[in-house]
Amino acid sequence: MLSELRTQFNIIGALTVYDLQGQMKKYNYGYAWVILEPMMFIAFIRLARQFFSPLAPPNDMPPLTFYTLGIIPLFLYMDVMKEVYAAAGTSSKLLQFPRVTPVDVAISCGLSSFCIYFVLFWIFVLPLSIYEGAWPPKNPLGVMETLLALWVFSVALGFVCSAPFRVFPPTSQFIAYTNRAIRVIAGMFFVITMIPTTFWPYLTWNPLLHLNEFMRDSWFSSYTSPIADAGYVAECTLGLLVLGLSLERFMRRVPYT
Amino acid sequence: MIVDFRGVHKRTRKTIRPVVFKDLNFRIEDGAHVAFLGHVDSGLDALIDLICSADAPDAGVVRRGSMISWPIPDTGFIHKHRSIGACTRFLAQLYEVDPKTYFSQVVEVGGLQEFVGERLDHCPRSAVSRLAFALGACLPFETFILTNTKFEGKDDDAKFGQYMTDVLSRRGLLLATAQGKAAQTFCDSAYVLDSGQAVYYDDVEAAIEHLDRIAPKRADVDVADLVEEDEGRTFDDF
Repeated sequence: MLSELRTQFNIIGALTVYDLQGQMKKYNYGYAWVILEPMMFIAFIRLARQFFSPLAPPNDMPPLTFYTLGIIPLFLYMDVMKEVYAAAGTSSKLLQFPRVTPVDVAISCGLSSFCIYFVLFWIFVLPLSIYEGAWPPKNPLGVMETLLALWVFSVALGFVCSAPFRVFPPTSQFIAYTNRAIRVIAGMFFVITMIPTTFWPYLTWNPLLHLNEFMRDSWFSSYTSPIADAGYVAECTLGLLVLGLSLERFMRRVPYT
Repeated sequence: MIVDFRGVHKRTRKTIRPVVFKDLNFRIEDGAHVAFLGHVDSGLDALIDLICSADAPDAGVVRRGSMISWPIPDTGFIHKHRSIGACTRFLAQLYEVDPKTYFSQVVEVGGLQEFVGERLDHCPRSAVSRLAFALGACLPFETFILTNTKFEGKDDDAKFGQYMTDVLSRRGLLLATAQGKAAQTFCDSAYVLDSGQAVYYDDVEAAIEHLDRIAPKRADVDVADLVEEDEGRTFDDF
């Protein structure tokens, strides 16, 4: 049992490093886009704030750190989820290694994506929070737990989406549009206290909003989230994980389109 | 048992002329040297994908037993912007062998000493080809899947060819090819892929004769397709 588990970890480790080595090799500018995209987003929202005062973060939370804490975790969510459903839903050359399964490929793609955005998170947050006087975070362990929870949630959702994507690839368009909408209502540039309480019941169904609330709650000593619920996030993640892995197992019998 | 097909149905996808395998039933025992003979559009790739578990059958069951390789010398998984070292490290971790020993073996067997540290897209094709064979040959597989046997024949690669021949003689082999000569050299029995069926021969020469008989049939089909296309075009012109 232990040796099988070790083998599994070795396979996932090897595939993750392999995936990281191959990431964006087709682009001459390598990882530049990964850094540029969130940077543009943060700059855009920071500028928008100049014109729309309701976007200003409450409780004396410094704006750049506030937006960065909202944007990069959501980029992580979107990228991990996309990588997982694409890897589990399409045929890969790596599956010709008889000991590699679609789950291994999907998890390793998600893991490599996590590595990139985890590093990116600290590259952005560390200097910005020091510059704005928001360093150190109130609860560093909470920040790490939130990032890990976000990764597990994204992987679980990725597995769920891989099933429809495998039988009907244009599903990816639908997923992309839905993700854009979810991103906006997931607390990318607001915390729940900025929203009238009448809307709270409609917004708090979204586990990503809870995770974003956890992130800001863990970072800023001046903010305590009134809605962040770890139990709710855990239930959603567990449910999606069971559903996603079951679907993946079932879909292995279905040939690739 | 290397592989066991039970009532397997499979229709090839993304091909101009799809092949439909119907009710494939065969079992290949450990240590066997078996050839799958078929022309380019006979569905050989789809069959190899089924054996490697890279794809699922439309119906039926494929069971795999012994430790089989990937289709050698496939280089699709190799990052061409990386070096031999990166490539061997990846496979060493995947197959849980000592990376240093594996690297030295691959370099020695493939005669790749002068290309160590070089990006693979800067290496000559013959070196990459030798690397592709050596990567598989230096791992402890019980059965090899080969899709090409071009390691034999060339004078400068004679030593390498001899090594590969020795390795293959000691382990199981599934050879997927359109070359009857290679099957004759390495295999004891063969399946010929003909019209979606796998016809078994315990005599490789008879299998090759069958393969040769398919070629004229394919030529007829090609001509028929051309006539149809011409007729279609004439009709459209009117």
